[in-house]
Amino acid sequence: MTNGVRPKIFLPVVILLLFIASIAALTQGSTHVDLEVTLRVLAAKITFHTLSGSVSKVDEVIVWLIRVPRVIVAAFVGAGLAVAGGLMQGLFRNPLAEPNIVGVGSGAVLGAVIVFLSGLTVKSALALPLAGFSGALLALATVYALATRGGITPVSTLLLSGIALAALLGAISSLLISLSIVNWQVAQEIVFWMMGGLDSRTWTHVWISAPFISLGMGFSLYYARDLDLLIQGEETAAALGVDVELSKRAIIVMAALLTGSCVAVAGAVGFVGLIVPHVTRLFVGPGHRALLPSSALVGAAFLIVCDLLARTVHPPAEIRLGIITAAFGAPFFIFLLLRKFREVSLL
Amino acid sequence: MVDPDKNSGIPAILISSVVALALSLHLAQAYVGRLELSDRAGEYGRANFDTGSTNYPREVNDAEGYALKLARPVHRAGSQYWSIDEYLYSIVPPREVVSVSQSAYDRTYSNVYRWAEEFHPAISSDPEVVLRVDPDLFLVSSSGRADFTEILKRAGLPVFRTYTSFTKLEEVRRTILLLGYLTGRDAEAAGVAREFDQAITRAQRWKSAGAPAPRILGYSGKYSYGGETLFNDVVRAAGGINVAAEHGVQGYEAVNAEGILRWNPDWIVSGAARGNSAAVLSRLLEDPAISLTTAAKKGQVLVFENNIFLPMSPFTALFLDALGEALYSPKTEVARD
Amino acid sequence: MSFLATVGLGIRRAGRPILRNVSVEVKPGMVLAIIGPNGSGKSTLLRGMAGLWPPTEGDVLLDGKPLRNFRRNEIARTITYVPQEIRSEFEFLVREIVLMGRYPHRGRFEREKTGDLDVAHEALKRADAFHLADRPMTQLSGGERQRVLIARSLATCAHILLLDEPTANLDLNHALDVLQLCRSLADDGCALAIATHDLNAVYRFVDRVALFESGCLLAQGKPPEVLTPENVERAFRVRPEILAGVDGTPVFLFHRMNHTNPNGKGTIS
Repeated sequence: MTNGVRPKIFLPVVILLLFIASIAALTQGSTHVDLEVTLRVLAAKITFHTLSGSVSKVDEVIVWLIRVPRVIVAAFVGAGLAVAGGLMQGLFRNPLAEPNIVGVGSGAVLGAVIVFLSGLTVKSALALPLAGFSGALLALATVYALATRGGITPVSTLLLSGIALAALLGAISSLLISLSIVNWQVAQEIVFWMMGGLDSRTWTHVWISAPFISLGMGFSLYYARDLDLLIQGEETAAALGVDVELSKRAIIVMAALLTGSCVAVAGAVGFVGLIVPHVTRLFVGPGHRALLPSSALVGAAFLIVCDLLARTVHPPAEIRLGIITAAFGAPFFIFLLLRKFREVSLL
Repeated sequence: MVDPDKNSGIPAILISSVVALALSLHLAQAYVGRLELSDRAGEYGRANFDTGSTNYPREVNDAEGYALKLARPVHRAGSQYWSIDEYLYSIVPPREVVSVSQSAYDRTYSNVYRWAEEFHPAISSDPEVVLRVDPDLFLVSSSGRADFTEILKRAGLPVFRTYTSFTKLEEVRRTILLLGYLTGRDAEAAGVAREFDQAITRAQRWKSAGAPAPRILGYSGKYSYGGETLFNDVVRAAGGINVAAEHGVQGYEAVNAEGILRWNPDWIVSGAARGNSAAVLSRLLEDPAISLTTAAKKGQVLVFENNIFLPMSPFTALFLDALGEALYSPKTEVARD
Repeated sequence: MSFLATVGLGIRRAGRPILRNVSVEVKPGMVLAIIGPNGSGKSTLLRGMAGLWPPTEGDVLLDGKPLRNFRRNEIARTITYVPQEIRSEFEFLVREIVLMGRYPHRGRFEREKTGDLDVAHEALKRADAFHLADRPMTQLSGGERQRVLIARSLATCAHILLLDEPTANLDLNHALDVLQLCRSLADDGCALAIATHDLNAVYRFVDRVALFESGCLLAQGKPPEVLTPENVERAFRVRPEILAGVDGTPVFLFHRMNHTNPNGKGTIS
């Protein structure tokens, strides 16, 4: 297998898939909008022209205020989670790591739960994403403080602290939910949110998440090479000139930033950060300078497709996004397991 | 080069303090948020709410403080919440209710499912659907999510946030009149309000003067209904004493077997899904603690079907009637339809 | 050309001293063997010399100047450290691994230049791993992987090479190849320090030996001076028998020590 050749075919194919998925997602929804109308609205908005009267106001609102933000958020969240997953897999030298391995996602969920229960989600559309995001950062700070001694953060300690903190935060969230479950409508909303979903995403959500996710992805490219070297062993990396502790810190912060922003606007969507980098690696190889951008594109396309399925599998009800990604994730795990068994020739 | 033995870097204590501080801010924010929202309840609709007036344009402040302007009577009303569905169907002609919550179709506890099934309003779970249905007025509850309402407002839909966490019968009555005012069906609303008052009066008349006030415990799904709940106000109107409130319970609190025994109510009132009352009753009576209460021994454990047990809407009148009759009529029947 | 020296070097970890007062040096053209039983501080010394662990006493001098005065990149271009290998599940190609050795010479976002590829090819050839260039590391044997790591260290073009047990998992023929490679690198002007268990190799390929016991330097000098039966017995707790090889090079045979139990309960052989 020559890793270098495939990206040339892979990338254009993924970009094409992304494009097709986006168009498909824009034309599907709980109500019907013609493809032609959709394209007309898009064209007008992108070129800043006013729409002719042939497109009704409702159609315009539905396409531009409901569907377009939703697809954009799906793309960014998919990309962000994929890159975060790639970073975690590299940092922990384990192709089965995923973004919540350091407990950041659990922190975001706890922040969201608190804000749901306080009723702030009713007052402002910003409350939920902001709370999720700050919860994620707080979790990161805690994990980092727990795992760092004398300026060094051993990866194994980080892992253990992350798992412990994720468990603790999960328990606190469950506690809060159980205490207020009498308010069943809020409890229902919380549980649904926790399963992940992109319902009612507005342009506000785009503006909140896109800058952070873009920032996170950009920065991660900066450390892509360091990550390659860190995988070879921290001492090897240090001997080749990498500032190991600084790189680890930066990578963790980037991953937390990405995960926090994504969970803040989409709830707890699992498996994206696990599957996408893993699969992308099979095509473009483990070098992160190719892996991270490719994962971002694949993740975007993947989540757009998952969201599309969530909306169209059982209309008019929407299946929660986390369930769809899990439906891909579980068979994927089995596939990995079978592959491993075959390698070790147990099958 | 990093020296593992030198204690550099941000000390763990500092980080923990920052975390603790931020968490407490979060919780404080949560607490304040809860207070603010309940204060609002008193203000809603107070400003320009004039029953009996037939003037247009009308303007009302909603539970968010947002001023909604109405230029003409409403003929396409939408609702996002189960209790609001019931208000609407009580006040406006059923075909003018164009979207409802999922619960309206739920036979196990909706009072309006027959109308929903006959007139097929859309289900308001999706902003796209609501937009397509194009209501003149869309009502959301106190707990409806802001991103949902934001989309609708941006699209130009008239959205009104109704206070729905009622704790007083008077609030239900006011909301009836408010919705009449909003939809332009003032006369119908006044009629519904009158019937509601009559139900309250009937409940108050059940109890003969001088008779001891029945000690009632509301107990459903392991939760007791204390002070500051609509149940409390219904019990008061029916001349009873709310045992949970008596013992300092505010709102809904989980209560265990010991607590119930100690309180030893004369009556226990509970709810069940339609068709399930007998099962719930027998489960209650099997409970070792409950079976030892005065209520159980005297056969005074009441199970009402959920559409009657606190609908939080004008249909609360059904509960008032049912409770009054159960408490004071000569026979003691334990399960009611 | 550069030389690396430690002067009274001491290193502590978690409060425990691991090395005490160690003064060794490697000069161009020289291969220094660092030998001693497990836990005697061989790897620690190499890490200290590579600048990975800071000295708690004494200093490490590169061309006479303390290491901490150099920038990380400068050190990486001058000293290369090959630790005992960490296996990873990621399928990096041999070519990619060796190119990582060029990292100290490039900016963060620079792509590999042709010059880099040439250096990498040369390094692969020298380490006899050129035929493995397009294979993933996960499919190589232990010996092949070791040669690739050495190729990577050659690709850094550093003149000081520190190798931690480079022959540990190798077949006999490959082990000899690696040692021969070290010898020829030194003959070309590099300075090498190798931590090893292989006392027989030491005699044949190495110029100087530093013998360690519990973090202290027991003896230092040419192989015959250091590898005396007394020293070997003391450090390794074995009884050496020295034979003569075909070309006169001493060859070690090791026997278990006869010793009485301290409580005088009888001998164990």
